[in-house]
Amino acid sequence: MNLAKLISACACCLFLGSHAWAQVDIDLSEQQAFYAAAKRASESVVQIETLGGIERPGELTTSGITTSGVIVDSEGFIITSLFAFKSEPNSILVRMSDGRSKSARIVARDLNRDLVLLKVDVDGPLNVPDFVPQSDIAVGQWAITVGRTLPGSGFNMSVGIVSAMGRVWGKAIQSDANISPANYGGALVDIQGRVLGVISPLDPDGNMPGTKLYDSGIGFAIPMQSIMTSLDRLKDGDLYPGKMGVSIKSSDLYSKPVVQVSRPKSPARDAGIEAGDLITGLNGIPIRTYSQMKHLLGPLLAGDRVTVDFERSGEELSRELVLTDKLEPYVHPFLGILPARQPIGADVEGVAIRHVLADSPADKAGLKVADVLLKLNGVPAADADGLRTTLASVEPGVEVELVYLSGDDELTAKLTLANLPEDVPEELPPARIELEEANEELPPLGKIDVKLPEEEGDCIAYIPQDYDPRLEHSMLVLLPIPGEDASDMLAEWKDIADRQNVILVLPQSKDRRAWEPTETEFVRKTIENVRREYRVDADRIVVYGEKTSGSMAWLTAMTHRDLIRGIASVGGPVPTRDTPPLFNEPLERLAAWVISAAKSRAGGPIKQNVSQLREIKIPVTHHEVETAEVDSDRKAELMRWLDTLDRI
Amino acid sequence: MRYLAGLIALVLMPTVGTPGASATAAEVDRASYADVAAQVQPRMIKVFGSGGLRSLESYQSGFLISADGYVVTAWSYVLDDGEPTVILNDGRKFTGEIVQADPRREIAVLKIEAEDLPYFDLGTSKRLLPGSRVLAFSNIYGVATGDEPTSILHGVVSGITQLAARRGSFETPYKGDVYILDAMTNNAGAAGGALTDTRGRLVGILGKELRDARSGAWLNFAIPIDQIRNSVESILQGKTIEEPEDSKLPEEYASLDALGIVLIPNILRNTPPFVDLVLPNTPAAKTELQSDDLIVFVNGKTVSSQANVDERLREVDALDPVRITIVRDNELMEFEIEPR
Repeated sequence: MNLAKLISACACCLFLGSHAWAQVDIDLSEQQAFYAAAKRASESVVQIETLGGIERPGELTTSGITTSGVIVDSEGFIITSLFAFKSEPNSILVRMSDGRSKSARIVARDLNRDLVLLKVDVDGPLNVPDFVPQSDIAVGQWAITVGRTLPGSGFNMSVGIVSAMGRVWGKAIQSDANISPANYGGALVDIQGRVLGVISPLDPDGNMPGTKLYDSGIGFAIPMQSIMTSLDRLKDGDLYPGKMGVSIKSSDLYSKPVVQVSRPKSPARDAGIEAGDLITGLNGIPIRTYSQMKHLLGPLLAGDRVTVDFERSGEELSRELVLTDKLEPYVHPFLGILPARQPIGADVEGVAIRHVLADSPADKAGLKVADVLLKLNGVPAADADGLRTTLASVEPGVEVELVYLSGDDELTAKLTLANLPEDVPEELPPARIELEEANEELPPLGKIDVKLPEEEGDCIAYIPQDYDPRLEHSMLVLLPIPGEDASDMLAEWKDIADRQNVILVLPQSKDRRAWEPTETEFVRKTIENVRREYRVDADRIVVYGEKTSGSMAWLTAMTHRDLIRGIASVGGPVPTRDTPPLFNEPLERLAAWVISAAKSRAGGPIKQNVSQLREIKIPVTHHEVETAEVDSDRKAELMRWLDTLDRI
Repeated sequence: MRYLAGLIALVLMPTVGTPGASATAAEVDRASYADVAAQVQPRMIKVFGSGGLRSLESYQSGFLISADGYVVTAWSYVLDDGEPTVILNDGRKFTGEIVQADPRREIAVLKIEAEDLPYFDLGTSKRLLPGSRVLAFSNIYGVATGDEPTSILHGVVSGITQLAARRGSFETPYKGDVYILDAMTNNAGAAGGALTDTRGRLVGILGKELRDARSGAWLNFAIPIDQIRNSVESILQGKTIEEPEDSKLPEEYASLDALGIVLIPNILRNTPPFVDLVLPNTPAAKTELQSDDLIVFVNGKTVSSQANVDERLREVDALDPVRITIVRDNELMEFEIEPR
């Protein structure tokens, strides 16, 4: 009896004691596990020192950047992030985990995921780490960063979790571990020290290396499995994002992916995919929205083979194609008309002609003002937008058949499409059409304050005296020079805005000395704010600036292609750094109006900009003058140019 | 029977008496941050500069190291006016007297007139490994006023290094080991705060706001307690502070002149250290060092400018050999130069 009691008492003690012991042990074990995981992975993490752009003597050297890299092949191949290689470094030094230093050279770049492949000469095989297959990575599991950027040769680590998978259009693992230049190019590992991915500063907007997100609770790593899969191709040369060549309306990510334009000479076009086709699957995976399609295409590279399932007139079809790295520069076709601007709610079939541009295909075919375009190549033209979209699939130089109404007669014409003109017509019909008296109450006209609650910047706008809510108006966004008053700029443009019925928006820079590149977001918000209250034609939104504000106008237009249709710059070149890549897009037209002074400092760069723009087939109206300023004649020309931007 | 009971007890004793289950007075019973906070917060102080032109952000943190009111805090401009205000966890306000500072380690010892205060024992701290969880107690952003306790951050040790190992990066006179932290401690007001492990044991003192001059990144770091222990003790005993070992420079040191190396003219602040000439009949001439070689390491430590090279050579005794690593045609080469 006594013994039984004693034994059970001891058993209780043992149970309680070991329970308390286990409770404390977890904390310690976790910490030891963090360290062990990082230590194990660190065997394959190297320190990379880039000594950049050194030229002697006299040229300033960038004093080098220290980043990390991960060994991916025992013969001396190392993957790191593009972060330290944006400039062309002269010398690349790699320090291994054992402290030995080696010189390295760049083998190739993966421009889809911002990675660089380096090669060092080795005496013996290097330690390639174990990695985790993507399907085995679980959201919520430990994610530990391992970098090697501390002074000396130790490694540095930070601890977090896997926050999400398939981020940045399917390309990256997201983690809340502290991701920063301290570990870019390094490894993100699991609690066992196996590599989940290589840390890369990706910008979710897809533009530039996203270093502005560092130390913010969000960071990205490219899955190691996909790096290993494409490693052999990377050893052979640069890798690029893969492109199909279809344009889908980008404003609605949740819409069905209907092809609006099948780009001429693209893989899609060559495989027989046409405008109007609805994409239903990629590589056997069903797709219901444009967003899903982007997620599947995101990680794919130029050269990848893709099976596209699509639906055409009720029939289910399938084609195979190979993604390309570069699409032929897209050239907009041109009929030669300005569409009549219909009041809101007008129930009009087809596209009525407001003006026929001289010497255009329409002019040569004998089309006249008030004729109504009904069908293009058999496709009914519902409205100006619809006609423009249908036309976008056909190239200049190709013949089209047009059915149109002239008076009471339905006629057919064959036209050979031309290129968009760069000249601005000397005369145009009045910008504003007269309507019957309106009985609607008008919103405030004249000078108004644009107030954005979350923004600190100031903005004013000007609504022309003849503003009519039944019509869509042109919008000219004037960027004042930082430090100068928007009201002064408004005073210069007010009269012509009234005559031409153009809405003006004048956002001011926060800092009186210069624009901040991030302020393009603010400019966008002011435009959207004014559009909520006043009717604006989406095809006639232009940003204008002089000198430094001209460069800011370029940055705004290039960053917000979905919103801006025209950019007017007087003496302001395209910024040389941190601009998103510029292409001509079928559905997001951009035209440029540029004034430069031949003898000014900006004159040369602007001339270069103009020829580069023409190379990518963006229409540029360029005037090289004595002094880059805008008198009343030039202002009038700018207004006429703006008035033609809805051309077809 | 009694023999059997005793035997069973003997067998079970070690398991019941294992570490953790038996908490000492210096540790906390349960591994709960709340309990750690309750233990540590009373030892923390908030320091405010006594005004003047820079009263903006004139605050930092510190902690008690004796029952009668000796305090360790950061040596910074907050103490400039000589009479900092020290506020305890419970809101009691004192005028701190500056006993002495150790400018090299950037710490200072203050004294307030008080008794029976809870305090940290500097003698018992241990070193942590990377990955160890830590808690940082400090008055970040001055958000704690009056009788509010200091703020707590949590994170892990990211790595251990010496800031001085990368010249030109960090402007700090301190040359010893630091903990790099994976926690946002680089804030106004954090300097002088306490870094503890998850049991509330003091392991480090939070550093001042510091930026890596090369990358522009702000650094979160703390100085391990073992690095300041001796100088704090010296201060308390009124003795002179011992200079840390590694700051002792040789009386006669190496130089480019003595080695026979001439670098390209130092026009810019960060002129890269390209070799212009190797003078004949010099120690360097006995190696294969040539003009146009770019010096990248001196004795294995990175140099990115001529100033760096001079600084590194100053640490080398004039009689010792010097290892110079260069880049030539994209290849690394190392030469050992024997002085005469």
